[in-house]
Amino acid sequence: MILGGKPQLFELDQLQQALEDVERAVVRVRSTEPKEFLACGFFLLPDLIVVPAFAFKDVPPQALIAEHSISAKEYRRFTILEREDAGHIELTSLARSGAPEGPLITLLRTSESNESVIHLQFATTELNEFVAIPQFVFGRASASIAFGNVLSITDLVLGYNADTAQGSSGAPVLDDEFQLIAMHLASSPDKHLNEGITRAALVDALRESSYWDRIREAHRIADVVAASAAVSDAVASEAPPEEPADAPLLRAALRAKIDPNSDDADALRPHVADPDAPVWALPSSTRTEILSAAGSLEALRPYAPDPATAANEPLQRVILRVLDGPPYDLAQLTEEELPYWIQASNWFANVAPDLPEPAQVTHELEQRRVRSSLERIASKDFTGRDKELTDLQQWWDAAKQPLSLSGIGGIGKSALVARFASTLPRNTLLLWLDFDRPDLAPDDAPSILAALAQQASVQLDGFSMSDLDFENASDSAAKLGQRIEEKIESPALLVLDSFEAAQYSARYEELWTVLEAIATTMPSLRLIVTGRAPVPGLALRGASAQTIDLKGLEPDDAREWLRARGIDDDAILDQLLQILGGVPLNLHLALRVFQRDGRLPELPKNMPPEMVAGFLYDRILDRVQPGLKPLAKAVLVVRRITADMLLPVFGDAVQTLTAETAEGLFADLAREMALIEGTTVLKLRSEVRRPSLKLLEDIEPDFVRALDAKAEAWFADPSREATSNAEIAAELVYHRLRLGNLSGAAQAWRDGSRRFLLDAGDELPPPSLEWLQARLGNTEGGDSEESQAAAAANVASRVRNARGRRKKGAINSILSNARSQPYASELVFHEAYERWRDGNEDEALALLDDGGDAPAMIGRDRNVLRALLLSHRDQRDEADSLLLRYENLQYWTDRSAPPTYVTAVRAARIQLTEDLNTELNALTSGDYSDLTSFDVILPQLRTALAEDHFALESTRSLFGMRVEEPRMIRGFVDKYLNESLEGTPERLRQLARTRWRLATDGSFLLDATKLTEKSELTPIEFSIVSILALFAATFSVPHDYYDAALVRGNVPILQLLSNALGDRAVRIDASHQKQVERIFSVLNGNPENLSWRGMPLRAFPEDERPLLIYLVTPNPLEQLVHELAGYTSEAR
Amino acid sequence: MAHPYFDSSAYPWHRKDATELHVELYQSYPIEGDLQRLYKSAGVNPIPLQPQRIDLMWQAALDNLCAAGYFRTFCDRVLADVPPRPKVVNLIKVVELAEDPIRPTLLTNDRVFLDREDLRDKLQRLTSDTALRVLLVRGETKTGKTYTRHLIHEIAKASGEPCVYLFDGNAGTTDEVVDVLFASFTASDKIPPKLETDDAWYRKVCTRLHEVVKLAGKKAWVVIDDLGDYEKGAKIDRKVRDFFNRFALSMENPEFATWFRLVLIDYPEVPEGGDDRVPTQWSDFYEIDTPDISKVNAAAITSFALQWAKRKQKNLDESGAKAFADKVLTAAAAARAGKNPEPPILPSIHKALQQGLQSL
Repeated sequence: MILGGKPQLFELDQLQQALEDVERAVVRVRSTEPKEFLACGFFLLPDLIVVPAFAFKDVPPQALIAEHSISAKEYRRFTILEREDAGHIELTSLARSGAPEGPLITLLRTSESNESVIHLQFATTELNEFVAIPQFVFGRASASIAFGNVLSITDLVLGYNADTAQGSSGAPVLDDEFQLIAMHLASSPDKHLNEGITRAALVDALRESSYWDRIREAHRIADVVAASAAVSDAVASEAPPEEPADAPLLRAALRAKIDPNSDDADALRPHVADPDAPVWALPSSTRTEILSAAGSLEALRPYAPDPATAANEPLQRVILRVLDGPPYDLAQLTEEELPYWIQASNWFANVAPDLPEPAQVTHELEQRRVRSSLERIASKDFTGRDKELTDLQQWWDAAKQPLSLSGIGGIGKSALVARFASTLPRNTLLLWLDFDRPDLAPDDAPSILAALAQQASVQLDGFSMSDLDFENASDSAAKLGQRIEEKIESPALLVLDSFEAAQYSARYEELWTVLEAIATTMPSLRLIVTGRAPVPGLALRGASAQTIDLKGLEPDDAREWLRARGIDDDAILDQLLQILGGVPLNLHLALRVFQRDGRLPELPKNMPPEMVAGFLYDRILDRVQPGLKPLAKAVLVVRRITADMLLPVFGDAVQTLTAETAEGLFADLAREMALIEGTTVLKLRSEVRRPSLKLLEDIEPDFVRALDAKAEAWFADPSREATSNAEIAAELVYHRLRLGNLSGAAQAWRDGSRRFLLDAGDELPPPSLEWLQARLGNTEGGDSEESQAAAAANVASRVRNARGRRKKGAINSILSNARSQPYASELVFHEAYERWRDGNEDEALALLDDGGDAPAMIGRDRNVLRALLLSHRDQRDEADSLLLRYENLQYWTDRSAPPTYVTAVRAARIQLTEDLNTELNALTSGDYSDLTSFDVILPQLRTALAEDHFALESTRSLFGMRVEEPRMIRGFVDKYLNESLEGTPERLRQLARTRWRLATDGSFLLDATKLTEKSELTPIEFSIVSILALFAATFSVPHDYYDAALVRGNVPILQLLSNALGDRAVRIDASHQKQVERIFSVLNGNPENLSWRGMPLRAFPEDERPLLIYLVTPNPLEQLVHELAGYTSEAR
Repeated sequence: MAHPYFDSSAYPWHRKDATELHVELYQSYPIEGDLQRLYKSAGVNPIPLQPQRIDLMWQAALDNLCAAGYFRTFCDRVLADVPPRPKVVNLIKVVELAEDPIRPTLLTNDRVFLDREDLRDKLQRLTSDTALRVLLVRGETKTGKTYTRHLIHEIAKASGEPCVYLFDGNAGTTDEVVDVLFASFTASDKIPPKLETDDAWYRKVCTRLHEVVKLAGKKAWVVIDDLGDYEKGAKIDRKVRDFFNRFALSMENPEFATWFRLVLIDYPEVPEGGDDRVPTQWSDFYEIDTPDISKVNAAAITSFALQWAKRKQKNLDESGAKAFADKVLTAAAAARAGKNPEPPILPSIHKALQQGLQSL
């Protein structure tokens, strides 16, 4: 066992070698006149010995003899050529009685060189550090060595308990690397320790000697004095005036790109931003500096590149144009070049004052883009749509209602609206929100308002919303509408494009409140919403939406479009139009295939697979990794996917799916967050699935039908328990309906299936749809219990989603809207969670109490949060009672790994038994006489109680035991604790008893230890490991974990924990900061000295590390609550 | 901590100790059976090794072990192997002690990189914690935001991972950004045609780049600078920011994030909507680092001086380092005194430090 913080084990051969080296570097020094005096010395250079000055004061060199033994009978003697005293430190702190003041050391130069020298140790010396003193005691000819430890440290003097004797003065005091940390002088006046001057004091003295340069060089001593002088000189010297740069730099500053193989490359390499890049460029600060130093455009022009090089390089053209000089008229510049003027106007600002400012360039660019983007969306290939354009114009002129434009992806919705918008008068304000953009979300009003304000400010002179923070959404929306209305002279168009992204994830309801507020103060606003499905209930200012369901191009238009591009065979065109369905994206695909292959007759046959690749894969499943696309395509047909069904249902359809690959593919699929939700039961995101399925049915109906049949067979299998499981029954009904088997659907229908089929209608053929609608009854009403549950679940899902995106405003808005709903009581957990996070624990608890109990997961969520809040009030028993029932898998089936959550509940219960504050109080007050080391966690307290060996012996092999094994020792544990508790109703003891019972009942310790095997831990797993650390903290001996199954042999628990913590920086949650500081203040003294940041675990004493891990890892109960609230990582 | 071996998805062949270990492994374990035994014991279902010359098999084995994250276990297995191969054991001990490229304050070419402990913590997590995938660097001018790139280059280099640095000199427009990104992976021909709306094209670019980087087999750092809004306007086209907003959103996908480490420097503070003033659809995958120049203090310079001395194999004790640090700070303060406007402190500190180091 390593007993100290640093191992004191020496390899024998290395020790032997080190001692021999030391022996050869130390000498006995004698003076023969005026009187004989003995001391030690050591070689610092091959020809330079250091001795204490007081020993040989005024002794001439020739009267000094330095020698050491080189064998039992042989001595080596060194002739002293000259001596030099150095250092004039008053060693008052040494306070040796009668010690003469004066020089500190004497340096003796020898006539011959010695092969060994003593090396200096520059690392900081610590208390208790090992010391060794090689010396010649009593003037004996052979050297001795004494060992000890450092006992006191000051700047000048080191105190230690290694033995010395007469004649030892001047001996080197060495550390465990046998490097010098002091030079021994004498014993302390009270004779309790020996003392020497520190290495630092010795070096200060040496610095004054004439040998300093040699010593500094030989020992590679950093010259702080010289460096400090150089620093002062640098400041004293005035910065030279800015001079023009050299020609290569000037040339580089005027080039958009620099060729790393150019003649100037060597000169430029130190200045370019990334010398490893294939093409170089100067950092903007360097470029601006060079250009500014040149002073004028005239001075720069000689270094300009040949204009011919700028032909294909817009930035280069812009640079050359800037060099030409003013006027710089933004209106004359092309849109292609404008972005580059932003850069140039920054770089040349100091030499071309007439240049527009970057903000002006940006404004000009964005103004132009309002219109040019319309042209790009509705490209010059735009064709047909006369009727739809007429309808749009009529809608615009009527100015009564919003418009919902729907159609499948690629049908040309955006292009149609863009074409229409481009026909509006040029002064029409166009506001276009594309919900595909990451910075827009319909449930995040500030994001909508900021985008609208930004677009309005680009198009309307003098428009500004910079005084609003948008947090008060309705108020800001009304002001936004009002200010826009004041600035415009004709109606404005607002387009909500790609709305399906919001629509299918049901996150858009908050948007209408904002839009309504804008529309109220902006009567001229016209609204178009485009999406893959109509927006139900869309209305503005009380007027319901007009809807346009966009279909493919008219056959004649499509035919004409293809014909104009060289596909002019009528028979082929007939076939193609059947396949392409007039969808513009398909027309483009067909043209691309034709242009690529050139084989017209084969085009109809080749198009379906091309459409899968070009449309389904590239357009719809574009975010799915390529290798997974065939499987992603197949799973579109099924709404609920589990690992076991992958091969039976999809095996025939997906070539890459085999018994060997199924598991890996399922895991990969689960990682496709753009497509999938869940980890063990996968559900496809409806916004991706619905349009894709429709498309797939059009292209490959047989493929889809075969998969529906397979899925039907899968869910119908008695082992799936469709008769008793309403969700499975719903899937069976779904696939039977898709296959047109209405009687089979009726047969499969179960109570409770309804809510799983509420949104299935869009995917069913008409007879099945009618059947389902009849079965579902009035879906609009939403009064039934089931509908309310679904609505509550929907709101809860949106709240969790908003939390995942840290949208506090959105959460409040969603919850606020839901408060008046009949299902509001089902959202109590989320309301209470928000109150708790806001610091209102009492309110949170009151809400939970008012809400009472609730069934299933809703009740679970409330009770886990309630337990957390009660634990904060120190009502541990009540909290534990609440948690107890959730140590049951049935309560966690909605989680990806239910067993982990059951273990986490146990971890949370164990955590409730930790009371470090009371332990600290016991430690600081000294009132712990009734406790045993078994009862406590704090290392210091444990140490104080360490006479109790039972805990150590009985718990040595707890970790990693199989389920039955801990039970064997549980008897001992119970007996021990029961006995010990007699007459000592100590709180800590009661908690400890519970702790040990919870740990030894079942497989908690084994499960928790196994988690440390994982290369990456989820936060909830990490919180379980933290409890493992809590147990590791209760042992005062290193502890092993033996895992026979993993053939790892014995692994120290501490190592496992360290692995689990990994190399994470030590981070402490603000809420725990005080407790942690208090603990380490008591344990280590001054907490200010602790630099938590980046401190590696190994920097802490070994016996404190488990506790540290426990303190810095997530708290299991809190982590459970956060995850129930929707956070997947540690909540912030 | 991003250990150059254990936290890297690629075996660091560019390191001398890495090639030495490879040589020693195939010399000490020249029999395929031994290789297979150690290889298979390191992790679950490692990629099967094709029989070929033993040095090549070891090469493939080391690549696979790092790619699968099994290299640390492999080292443990080799250390425990009986009979021990002393030379291999010694080299593995060297490997275990390989320096963390995140912490040094003295970078390659003697570049000084003081303090930034918060940044280092975050980079540490960016390289080892799958939850953190995007780092935003924000803050006032002249606080060292752009300088961040040097540390990132150092880390990337140590891990053998490619690092693309984009800034106003090479990334003024989205077209330029996309050109530079694909050119960095010699895949300029893989840039998708622009047939759709900008944002749809950005998504397609990300998907294609993902394919390209995955094919190259090494995780790539993408660092974009100059994204901010400044007093006189932006430094680059705002669409570049839109592109990186999309790129960052793609990092939500774990598979995509497996192949990239994204750092957005000078990301604007102005509201773009949302509580955290980042794109509202971003979820919990990012963190923000804001350089704090007040932390470039005596302690930071002392720590640097000690590291410098260690690297230069010079002997410097803590009190000497502290005295030097105090001198540097005093000189830097003196250099700024009485100037109007007061110049930023960091350049003064760096200047004083550089001068001092020449004589230290």
